[in-house]
Amino acid sequence: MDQVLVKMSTYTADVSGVCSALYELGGMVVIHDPSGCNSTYNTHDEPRWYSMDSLVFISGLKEIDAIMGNDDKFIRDVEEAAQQLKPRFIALVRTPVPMMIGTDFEAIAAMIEEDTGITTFYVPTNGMHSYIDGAGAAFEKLARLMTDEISGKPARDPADGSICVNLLGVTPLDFSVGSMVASMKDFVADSGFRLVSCVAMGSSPEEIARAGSADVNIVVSSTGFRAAQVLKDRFGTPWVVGTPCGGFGAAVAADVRRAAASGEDIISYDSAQMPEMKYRAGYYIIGELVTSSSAAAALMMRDGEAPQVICPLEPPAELRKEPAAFIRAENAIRERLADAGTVIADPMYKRLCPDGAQLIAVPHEAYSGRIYRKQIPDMIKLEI
Amino acid sequence: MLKMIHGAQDRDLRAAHTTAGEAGWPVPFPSVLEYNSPAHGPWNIVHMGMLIPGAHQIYVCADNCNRGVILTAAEMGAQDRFSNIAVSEDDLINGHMEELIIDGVGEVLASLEKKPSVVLLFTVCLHHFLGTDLNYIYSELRSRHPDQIFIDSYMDCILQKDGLTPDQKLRIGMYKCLEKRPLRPDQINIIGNDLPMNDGSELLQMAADAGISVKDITRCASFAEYMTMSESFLNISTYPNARPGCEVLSRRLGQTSLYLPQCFGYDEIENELRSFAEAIHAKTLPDFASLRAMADEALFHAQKIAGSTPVAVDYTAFPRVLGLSRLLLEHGFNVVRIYADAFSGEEEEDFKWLAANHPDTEIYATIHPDMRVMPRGWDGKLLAVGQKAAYFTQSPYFVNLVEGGGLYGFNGIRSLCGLMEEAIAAPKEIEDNVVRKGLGCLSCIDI
Amino acid sequence: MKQIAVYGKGGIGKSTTVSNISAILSMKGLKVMQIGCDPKADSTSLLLDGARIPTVLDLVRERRNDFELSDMVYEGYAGVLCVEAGGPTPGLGCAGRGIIAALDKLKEKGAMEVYKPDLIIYDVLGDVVCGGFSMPMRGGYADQVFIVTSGENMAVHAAANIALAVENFQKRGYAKLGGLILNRRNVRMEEEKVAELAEDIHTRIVGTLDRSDTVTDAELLGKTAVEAYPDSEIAQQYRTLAGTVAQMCGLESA
Repeated sequence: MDQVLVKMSTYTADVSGVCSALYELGGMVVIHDPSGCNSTYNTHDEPRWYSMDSLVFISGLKEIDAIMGNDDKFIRDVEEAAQQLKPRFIALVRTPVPMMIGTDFEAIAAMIEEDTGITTFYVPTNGMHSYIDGAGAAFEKLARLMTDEISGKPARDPADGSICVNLLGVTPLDFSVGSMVASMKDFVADSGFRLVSCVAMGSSPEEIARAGSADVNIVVSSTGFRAAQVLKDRFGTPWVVGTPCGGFGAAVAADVRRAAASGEDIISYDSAQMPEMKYRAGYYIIGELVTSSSAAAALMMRDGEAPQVICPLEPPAELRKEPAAFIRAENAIRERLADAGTVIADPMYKRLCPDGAQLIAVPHEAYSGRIYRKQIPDMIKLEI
Repeated sequence: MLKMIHGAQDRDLRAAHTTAGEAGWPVPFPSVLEYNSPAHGPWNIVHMGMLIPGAHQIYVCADNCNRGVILTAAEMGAQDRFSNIAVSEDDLINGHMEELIIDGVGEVLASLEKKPSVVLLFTVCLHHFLGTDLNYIYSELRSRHPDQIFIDSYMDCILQKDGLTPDQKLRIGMYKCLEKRPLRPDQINIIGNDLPMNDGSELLQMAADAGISVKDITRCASFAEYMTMSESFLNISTYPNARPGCEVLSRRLGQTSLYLPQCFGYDEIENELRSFAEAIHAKTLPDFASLRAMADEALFHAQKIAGSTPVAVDYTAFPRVLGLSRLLLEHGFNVVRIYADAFSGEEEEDFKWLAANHPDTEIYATIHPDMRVMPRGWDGKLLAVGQKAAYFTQSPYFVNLVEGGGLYGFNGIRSLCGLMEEAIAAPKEIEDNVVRKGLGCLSCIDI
Repeated sequence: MKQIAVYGKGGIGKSTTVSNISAILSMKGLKVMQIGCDPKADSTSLLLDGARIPTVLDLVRERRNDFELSDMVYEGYAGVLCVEAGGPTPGLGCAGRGIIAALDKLKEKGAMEVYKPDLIIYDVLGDVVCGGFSMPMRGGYADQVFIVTSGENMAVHAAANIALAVENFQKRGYAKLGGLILNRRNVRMEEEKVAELAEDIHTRIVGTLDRSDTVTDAELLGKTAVEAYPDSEIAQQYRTLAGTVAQMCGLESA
């Protein structure tokens, strides 16, 4: 049965994805749930929880309030906390029970915004999808609500005419809290670009508010794609999808220059400019689509052969390119790995690999959480 | 980049702290949004369930709910004793939830290399709202798998504020497979603890002196041994959340039940030990005067070392956090702060004593949202007893202990004194210690 | 103790019918408890002079667990024990879960042990749309389900739907279908349509009630027809129906 997991772990779900995406932005995120979602998130899905404060809370929903549809307590508690803590925005996150009973979050968000004067929005998660959906939806809201209007695209940075870029889809879930984010920023600088904002690690809300001024958006994880689409709609900014891993970074940079010049959108790991991929049988990489596809391309450039991508998540349809396989069920993944000789994946996938297969461990926070955090290599530098 | 915001702005944070003299009983703080600190030492239902030798846990839930439990199992090295049936939106409306669970469990069982001693099947909040027929599910499972023991278990947090918590329900459930057997007059059980009782406790000593063996799930080496708990004539519970389980089990198997909560008042301890002696028909009693004197001596010794060092305690270290505070204050310790969101009904007398005798002792919430921005730290040295106390005061001089640590009786007090002396003498890394789940379980995280 | 559940399209006359049956059987010496399983909480009002009693869920919301059985169980006309489960206002919350929670609370408070009713009648709202509304027909609850219907198409379809649910649940040991109660609306070919329905769902019509202004007159007084107009034709029909139901439950009057 597709829904039975015996040896697999579970990826970070949508609720935690929202919290992770919005963590550094000075807002207040309220998960409408009895209990558990907050501690699951801050224990396994948020490496910044101890070292960096953020206002993420749970509502403590009780059975009787759910039965009777008592939204008033929820509204009151959110407004009281907002009055005290003065967040920049309020995000309401939905979980399974409020979804089941049809709680009207749009209306609740509107009421809270009216009462508090604080931008309030709701993210339609339900606990049953992955962080790709949750973080993706949160970034989309950011792009819609928290970026300033730009009247007329500004000219290239007058200082040096460098191309201005945003990095979209940056959360610890895909990039942890080691050196990868810094490495991506180094890539931007080394490529001669100027970073407007890194959405959303290490950039202030004011920097993110200027995201509309970028010439190109670089989508480094599929969580950033919906935001890229919104920014394209609002500001005409083209997007380039690709994580600048190893030698593949040069290809991404070249695509950024092309996009800046022509306005076209490019998926770097699928672009015509990419060398033909040579896939070795039994050689796989498992993980998030954009980072895995980019790593595969980088390995192709470095080693002359590429692993086939297996993505157990649900990235946007536009990013899915053959021959990547989108397999979620444990039995199906095990079947696919039947001929595996080498698998690049989180160590928790070892149990699905056949005996004798070599697992090259690339721990993924969104999969194994904090268990192997110190062993996460810098994939931007292709440290495998 | 956002800096730390705790303490960054002037705020009136009075909603999250009060004093013993002003605190409302039994809940000093309003029920509003909730914050969850990084201190995660207390056990959760996954840790507890794994105490049954050979048990396998199956959770039927949404991905977000599964995330926490599956990684708990992985972090304690027990992922091979854990499975999940993922619930999707379609399952909420297609009317086949019962079949999903029945067939899913069957598939899990078929794929396991070894038959589990017990399957703990966890249903969740969603199932209550769907009206899922759990009776039918279990009846069908037992019919299809007659050689397999199933225990109905619950991760239904939505019911916990007005009913039993999932923790309490599991401490009842974990003993459901004990079957009625002839009772032995020379064997007793300790029911519902996560941590073994300290070896030197008077209770264990009294049992040994009376020729009575003590069974405790925390020490059972095999499922067969665990099942012999059915034969005990007496069940003791010392942890408050274990009490319902102890009483339910005792009623079912015709055993005697005795609730002897871990406490700190000498009279109460002595009364409990006397009750225990009576229950086991002990021929002799401990020398209580001597035990009291030894406890006093240990406290005196520890207090000399602590001096006027401020002390903060929290409820995750000891359920009777007020009783502990009173003991320490009565023995000259400078208890300045208690971290607790609510108090047990068992502590009313100690609450009144504190209010009357030390009304300025601070009481801080731990889950109130203001605690996210409450300044963390302490000016100078402070001894913290408990992980939350350590985290909120940022004191590296802390006793790292949860759920009472198995420290029972006068001997428990002496052991605690030793731990406090060790804590004052040598600082510990706070983060690496407090973020690990299930203190006492294996924790294989590499942070 | 016997238990029955009464279902049927909203507005078809379930509560009126059930209240009259409760009153009659109670007057015959049986101890009857009528439990309204509808957020509208109006099942028992005709037994209480039109008054509404606090619902179980209102009590839970206001007092958590700090209330007694006597706060939820009220004695109405002829000694019928009246309970209303209650539920959320329309458009909010979860009424199905509410029914489950209310019935669980009654059990938890020991209602059956204390009152020892001979017969419990669950008066359940119109459409069984989720698990919660099937609760009264589950194991440990009703032994038989009766469906109130007229010859109107909507009522017939609703009745068929409920019968389908009952049939689907047979392998789980849920309540059996006791039969249909025809509450006439005097539509064309009413007898034939309901007879056909009965055949289709493999059951029978256990009682027939004429359309009667007496019932409306009694309702205006906040009473059952049996109380307000005991000598009326409709009251006699209710007595016949009540007798049939009691017999089908194996109940002898005291």
